[in-house]
Amino acid sequence: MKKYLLIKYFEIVRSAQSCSRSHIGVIATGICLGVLANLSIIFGLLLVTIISFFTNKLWKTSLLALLFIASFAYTSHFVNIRLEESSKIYDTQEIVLTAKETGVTRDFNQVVIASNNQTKSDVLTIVPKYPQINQGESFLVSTKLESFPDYYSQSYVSFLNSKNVFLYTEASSIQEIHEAPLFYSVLNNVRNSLQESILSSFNEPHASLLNGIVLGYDEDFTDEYKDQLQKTGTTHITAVSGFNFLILFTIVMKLSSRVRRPYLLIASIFIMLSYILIVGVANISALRAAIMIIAIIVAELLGKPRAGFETLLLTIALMLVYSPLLITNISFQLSFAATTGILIFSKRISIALPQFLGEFLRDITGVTLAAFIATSPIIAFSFGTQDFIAILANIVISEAIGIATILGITFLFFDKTLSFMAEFLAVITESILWSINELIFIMASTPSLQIQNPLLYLFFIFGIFIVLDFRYTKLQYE
Amino acid sequence: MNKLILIIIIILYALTYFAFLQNSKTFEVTFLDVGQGDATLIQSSNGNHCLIDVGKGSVIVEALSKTKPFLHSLDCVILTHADADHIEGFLSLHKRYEIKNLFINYSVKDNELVQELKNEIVDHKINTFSLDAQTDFYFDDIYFDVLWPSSEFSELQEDLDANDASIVVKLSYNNLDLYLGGDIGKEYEDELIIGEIEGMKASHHGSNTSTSENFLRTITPQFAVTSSGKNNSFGHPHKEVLERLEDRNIEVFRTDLNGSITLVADGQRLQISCEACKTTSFELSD
Repeated sequence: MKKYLLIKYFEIVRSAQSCSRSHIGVIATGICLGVLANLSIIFGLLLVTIISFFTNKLWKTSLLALLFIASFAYTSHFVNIRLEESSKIYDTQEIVLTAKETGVTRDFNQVVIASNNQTKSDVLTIVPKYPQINQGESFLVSTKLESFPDYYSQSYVSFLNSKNVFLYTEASSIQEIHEAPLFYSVLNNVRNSLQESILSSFNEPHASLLNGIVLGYDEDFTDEYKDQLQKTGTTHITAVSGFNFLILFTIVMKLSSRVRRPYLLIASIFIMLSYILIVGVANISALRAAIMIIAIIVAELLGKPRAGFETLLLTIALMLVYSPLLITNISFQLSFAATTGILIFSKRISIALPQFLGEFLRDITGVTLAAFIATSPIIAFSFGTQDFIAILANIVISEAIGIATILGITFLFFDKTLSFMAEFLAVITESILWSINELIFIMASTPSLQIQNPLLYLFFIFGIFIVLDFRYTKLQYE
Repeated sequence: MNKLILIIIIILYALTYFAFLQNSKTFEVTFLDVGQGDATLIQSSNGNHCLIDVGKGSVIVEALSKTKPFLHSLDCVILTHADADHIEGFLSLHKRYEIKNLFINYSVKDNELVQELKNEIVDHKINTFSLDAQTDFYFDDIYFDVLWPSSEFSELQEDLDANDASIVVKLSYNNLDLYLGGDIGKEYEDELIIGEIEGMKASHHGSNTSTSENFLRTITPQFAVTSSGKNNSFGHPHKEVLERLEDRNIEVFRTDLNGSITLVADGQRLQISCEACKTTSFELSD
């Protein structure tokens, strides 16, 4: 045990050293702490002290400190402006809003996150369900901007703030809608066309599931289905992730053996960009995956391949520079926690698992457990503890989801080109989706295996991790 | 080799799934459980489909998928009147199903939902026809006797309630007559000349504004179906209507309690089954 603890200590010190040499990590840290500005500059000074412990070059320490302070100041300023706007009093006026995201409320009104040219923050707009507003369209309403209603929970308000939404308005009618600019118009048409291809070729609820897996669209899920996904810890299957981008990348690279690799890499960047625009940059996990994969491709083009964790840090920094309050967004936290967990822990967990499981099962279980462990603290304190059936559900379903994603993306490629091939793929894909839904239904119906107390739950989870990590360390140093 | 075996297994699995879920070809009428709304699917003995009303929101899509998986087109859709709980589902429906013919009622109400519907019809070039009491038609071997609105009524539309302008239809297949009344009120329902029938869908979700004692006395159905949502805020079906039906020994099937209700008929016998009830049979007389 003493040897294990010593090994762990040196591993952590080495990791901290490599992190501190990353300027990007410092920017990201500055921004994170800037959001939590009430922790004051003392925390910042503490960080600078730790940084200087790992490097004895004055210019490096100074640069890192400056980067940190600049990031901190930028974020504080960003947040302060928006808080000021949300506490102002506005008159009722005619205002043109531009839709960034649209959805439906529980009582069937439209909810639109919209920007305007009067405030820096975006507005949560509640309007009647019809006429429907599409992304990119501008609409005219006569209304008053105000702060959020009192009945909105603090967690929901934080979630909205993380999307740069600090203002609220409710309009009883929409006076005019202006067509979206050509760029958004084309995007909306492409997105609608892809969704309709899926909707017209698959039965429900399989069509909605495939829409979620491939296009990140989950508005059509019933409440009952969402509950089943939550109980089985499989809500993430409807999040567009790195796997989707990896499939697209593989398809592009395999398209032609005659085209030189650099040109294929450039083509793949455009494909990735198109895909994230279709899915929507508001989809946090998809955006994270898109930035990571594009960063890796660019790094290869520049002849400087980068490790996964460095790319992850770069992605964190880029997303936080765009919108610092994303650090408070649960989707952001979960996406990065899961990716970090998988990058750092999945291999060691799969090595630590018993041999009799076989390599295939150990790999899947390693990834599942790594993501589960890394996201547990966030989930426990945001949503409550998870049912342990989620571990089994994810192990069982993950390969099927992978196959469904590959088939779904391939189906969309063929749907407008070789329709007979698309129909054939639709039959196969639907049977896989049916299996996934049946498995989810069966697992959601099982008795609950849940520890209600968050601290006890986390203690148990980390206990599992310590046991596995101990076994891994023992295997490595035997 | 392993990959090839896996691919073959997946293909065989898919084909089995596909074969297992092929739809039958018999005359069927299914009163779909779409919550607080109406949706009635009619399947002819040629396997063609006609849908009367489409419920609210997008529930119709899941209800149809459960009842008729692998159905991708509807030969006709009839929207009886412009209330959201009868027509809103069309906005989701047409994205998933090819609608070959749409029959609507150019009713009094022109609101944002109706405008949206009209825009979708125009954008997607859906064949659209108006229906009234002059436009009876055959759907394969099923006769659609359109009882309402009459052409005189249509001229007065500006003054009238959307419910009273509902398209009302009597279906006839062999020895089976079915009455489907939309949301028509008793003031106009009582004036309809229908004759005796075997079954009915109680108008306006079993509300007391329809299905009067007089009406039941003239049509003498053996069974009635009410289409409403579980624990709905309107109290549908109303107690008074249920009592009237019970007093006349009319067997009642309710979508709020029994889920989707399916009738299968072959000319001599009628079988009624549902998600949460015992299967019931009726003899059909000549």
